[in-house]
Amino acid sequence: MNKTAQYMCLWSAAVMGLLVTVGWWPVAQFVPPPSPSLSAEQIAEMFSTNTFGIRTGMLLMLAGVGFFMPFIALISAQMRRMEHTPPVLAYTQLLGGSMSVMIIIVPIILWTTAAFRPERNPEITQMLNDAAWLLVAMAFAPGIMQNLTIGLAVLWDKSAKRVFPRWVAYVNFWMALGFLPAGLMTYFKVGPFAWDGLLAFWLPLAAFAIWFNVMFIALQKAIKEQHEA
Amino acid sequence: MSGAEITADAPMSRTRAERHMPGEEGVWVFIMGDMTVFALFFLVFAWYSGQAPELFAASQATLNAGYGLFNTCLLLTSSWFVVLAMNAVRHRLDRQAAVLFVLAACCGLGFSVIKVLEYGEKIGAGLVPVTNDFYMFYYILTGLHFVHVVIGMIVVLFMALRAWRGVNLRTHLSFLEGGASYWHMVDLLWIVLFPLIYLMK
Amino acid sequence: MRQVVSHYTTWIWLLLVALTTMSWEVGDGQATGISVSMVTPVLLLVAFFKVRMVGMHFMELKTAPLPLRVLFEAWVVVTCGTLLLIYFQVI
Repeated sequence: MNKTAQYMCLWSAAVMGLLVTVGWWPVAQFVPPPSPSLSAEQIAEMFSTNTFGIRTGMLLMLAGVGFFMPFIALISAQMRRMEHTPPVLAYTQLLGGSMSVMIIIVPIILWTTAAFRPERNPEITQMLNDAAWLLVAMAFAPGIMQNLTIGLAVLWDKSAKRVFPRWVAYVNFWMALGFLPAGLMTYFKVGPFAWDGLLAFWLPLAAFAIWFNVMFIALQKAIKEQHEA
Repeated sequence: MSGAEITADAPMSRTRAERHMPGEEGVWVFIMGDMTVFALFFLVFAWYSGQAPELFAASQATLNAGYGLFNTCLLLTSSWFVVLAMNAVRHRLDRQAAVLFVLAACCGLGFSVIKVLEYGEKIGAGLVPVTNDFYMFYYILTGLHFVHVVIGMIVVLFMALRAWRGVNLRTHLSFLEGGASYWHMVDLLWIVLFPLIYLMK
Repeated sequence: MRQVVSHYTTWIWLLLVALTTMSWEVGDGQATGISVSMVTPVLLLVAFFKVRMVGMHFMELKTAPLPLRVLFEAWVVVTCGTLLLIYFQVI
């Protein structure tokens, strides 16, 4: 019931958002993503011309992604209020969130590895870059588990006064479906379903941004109401 | 729950003045969100089709529009069964409603069987998602829709169960209306997909 | 059971099936009298007319709160309109 700690967890998500966005986009210049159809030489050149930017951007992302953990824990803590006992959905959400953090950290280290010796054989750099993009953009399973468990917990809320409004559940279900096209990037190197495509990259990214803001506002309101009661 | 009370008191005499949201608002957040995502898919498909009209026309010619036609009619009929079931619920004919919901799910099952046969036929002919851009969209658009159909059949079966056990108009109507609205959305998305994929020149 | 089936939505269902069959005939080139360049616009307009029918009468949006109905109608107009613009290569 510590109000300050809960608000710290909430606002740490903003720190995460800021550091990850700045590191990924203007510093490392990974947004928009490099096309999967680029040759090994082109990818290697990207890492050798922007070596400092990529190393620094990845460091910022790495620093930022840790601040996602308290936010995930906060979601589960609020889910516990809905579920009472045993809080299986809250645990699953916590696991999904932990995995989500992992699948951001691992690609960061892969990109860092690629930028660590940019003069190496281009094909190795390309492989590191491929693995990083597929991990960060395709691995939808943990995210979908988070969405489904949050959604169910909200619909089955047993507390006297609802913790989240019910529509938050449906935003989560929608998000789970919005993630699905990301799985298709395994088949394509160009077009809308490649990892730089409109439907496999930009759509899930937009869905994530909407989800993130909805959860932030819902959590803020839930903490406020919890401490007014 | 004010909407449910109006319906419970005067099932069929709702006027335009008493506007009523079918299901809870969250369902509509989901439905409009999902329809927006599908609209994006439709537009991207149309745009790619315009970039390579010959390829898309030639690939479309290999599809059997009869399957598409039959499946459209199945989903329309399924939707109609759900409408009738909701009418039955409001007339307190819960058992009849349950039967109608099961019929709706059966239409969904028929749709699924035909879809699987159609996929099998195409894959057997060596036409897979990576064959060309048309087939990429064909499999992804219909596949994503198919996921919605499967989820919808499960929802409709739960609605049948609810109706069979007896409906309390005050507490259960919102779930039934929400599920019905979702199932109609699955229908209306296919109404666009059918001409878009099978017929457009 | 009779009062359940003899509802106006049964006519809507029949109309939708009829329009679907007509679309198929037009699209498969069996119907005459429509020039090839107009096949797609006709198919799209018919499809979105059907979508609106499903929305208004099956999803009961005709009597839903206005903002929701307006949102749905806007989706129909914007999606259909943009598809037509893409077809006529305006976009």
